[in-house]
Amino acid sequence: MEVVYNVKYKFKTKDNITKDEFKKVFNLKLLNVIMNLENQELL
Amino acid sequence: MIEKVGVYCRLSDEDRDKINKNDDSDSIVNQRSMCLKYANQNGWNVVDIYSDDDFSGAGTYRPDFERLIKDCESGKINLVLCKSQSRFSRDMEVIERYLHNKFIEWGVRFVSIVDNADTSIESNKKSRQINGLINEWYLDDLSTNIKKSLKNKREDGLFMGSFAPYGYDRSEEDYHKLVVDPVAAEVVKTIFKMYADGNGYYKICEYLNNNNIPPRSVYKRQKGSKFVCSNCDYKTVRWNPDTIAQMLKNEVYIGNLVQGKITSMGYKVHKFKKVDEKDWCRIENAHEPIIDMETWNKVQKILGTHQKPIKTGEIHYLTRKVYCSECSKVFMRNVYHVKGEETGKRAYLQCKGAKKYHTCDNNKAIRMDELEKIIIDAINDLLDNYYDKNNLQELYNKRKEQYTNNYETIKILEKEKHNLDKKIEDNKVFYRNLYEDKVKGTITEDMFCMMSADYLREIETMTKRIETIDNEIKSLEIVKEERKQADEILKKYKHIDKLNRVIVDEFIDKVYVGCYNKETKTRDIEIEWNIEF
Repeated sequence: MEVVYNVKYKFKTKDNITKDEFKKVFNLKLLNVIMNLENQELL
Repeated sequence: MIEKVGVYCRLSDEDRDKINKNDDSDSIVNQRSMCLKYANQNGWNVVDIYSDDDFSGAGTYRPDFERLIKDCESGKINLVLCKSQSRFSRDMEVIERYLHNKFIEWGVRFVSIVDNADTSIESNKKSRQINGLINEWYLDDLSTNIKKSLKNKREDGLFMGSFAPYGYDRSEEDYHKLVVDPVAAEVVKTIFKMYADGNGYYKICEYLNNNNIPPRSVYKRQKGSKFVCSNCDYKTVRWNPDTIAQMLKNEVYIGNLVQGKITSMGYKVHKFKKVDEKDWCRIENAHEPIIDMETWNKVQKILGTHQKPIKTGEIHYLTRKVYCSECSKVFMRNVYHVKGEETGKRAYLQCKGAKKYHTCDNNKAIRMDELEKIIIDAINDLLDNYYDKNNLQELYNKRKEQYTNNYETIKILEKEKHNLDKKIEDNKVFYRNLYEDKVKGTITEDMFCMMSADYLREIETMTKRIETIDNEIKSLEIVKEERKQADEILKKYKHIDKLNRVIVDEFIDKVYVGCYNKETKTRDIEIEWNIEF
């Protein structure tokens, strides 16, 4: 039985955020992930 | 009747503080000579002398006082002689019990020289009772003053505990100030980091024990502290989950001093009671923190949600992330045996309100692997739209400089190694001396075996720890050398294939799962991103 999922996003950003502003925030978050995982890869 | 005299002397800190430094008229020696002279003048026979040094007059837990009472009861003495009534006791209840009851029953007379108390003179009773009352008030005031003084010191941000908490030392300049102990502070940081990374208490203990990191009580003793842990055996003690739980909640690690959590029930009762949290004395920024606020808040958030580790000892990265959009309760994880699955098991998530409390209609479970795929697709969707290689490259180069600086950590590890080397040398000297004592016959073979076993065990533990430190230093230096090219690394994260705690914590705040619609065979999923601006 196949279920179809309707996926919606919700952001805590201000309503009038520009694409560039969002890109900056997103890449900063991504950098945190990269640095963390690279460091773990201590293993 | 022949007078069989027992002379009783007592001196405590409260009396020592009261008297002039040059005036030792209250000292045990002077009390004794005054009483002996008085007994001699009256032609009394002194049978025994009882003296309690460093004991308060508030209670009866005094070794020689107890011996005196026993001798009175057995008839060994029939006259108790003191310099003053307060030497015998400052407690009104004790004065009444013995001077006006038991001593009369046992035929014992009480005489004190300075305040003329004498139980053989009937009219003397009122003045004895007044003396007793004044002595009691004195103790009462003293207790209040000490409590007030301690409270003021706590409010001034002074550390008033007997031993510095693990991770800190007392400052050499100011006994009531805490300074970071760099060796133990590294262990504290490791504990917080491991917990923030999703490891449970047991997993953290296992790591610390396997790396031969000495537990708190052992470490304190290794540093020469007189710390005594009444319920642990120093030969076998290991890190335990309760210790980890306690440390993770301790605000001392973010620089706050929280004191006055317990108070004595009263100066006559040697027991303590807990103080309401609102009455604790909390001073912020009292000393240098070991844990940064970001890590602290992350740990408190995990602790607050009671996340439980799964069977591997780790907390699953979707724990407390998935909620029901109908009743807002959390989705619980369940594992079922399923034929045809590679592992024979399959994990599902289901609304707690539906499964446990039967108060929600959203009772259909969702497969863990399906939900994971939804989240992976969503993250990849954002990556496709917002991944900016140039921006990342710039940020990465800046951050890399900070990350590769392991110099401080290496320095701390080398200091710990130096201390352990010194300690091992000391133990070897003790062992040699012990051996010489055995050869000379100063100690027996059995004694030698018993005492040397402790030294050898300590040497072995410390040697193991040094090996671990050497490996850590080596690997930190490798980390510095092994940095791959940024370009290669950044490319790797243009698309993700699987989830882990780092990715989920960084990007996802909550996922809301709606009810399954039987007619349309659809289900709503709302992802709340952890992206703020």
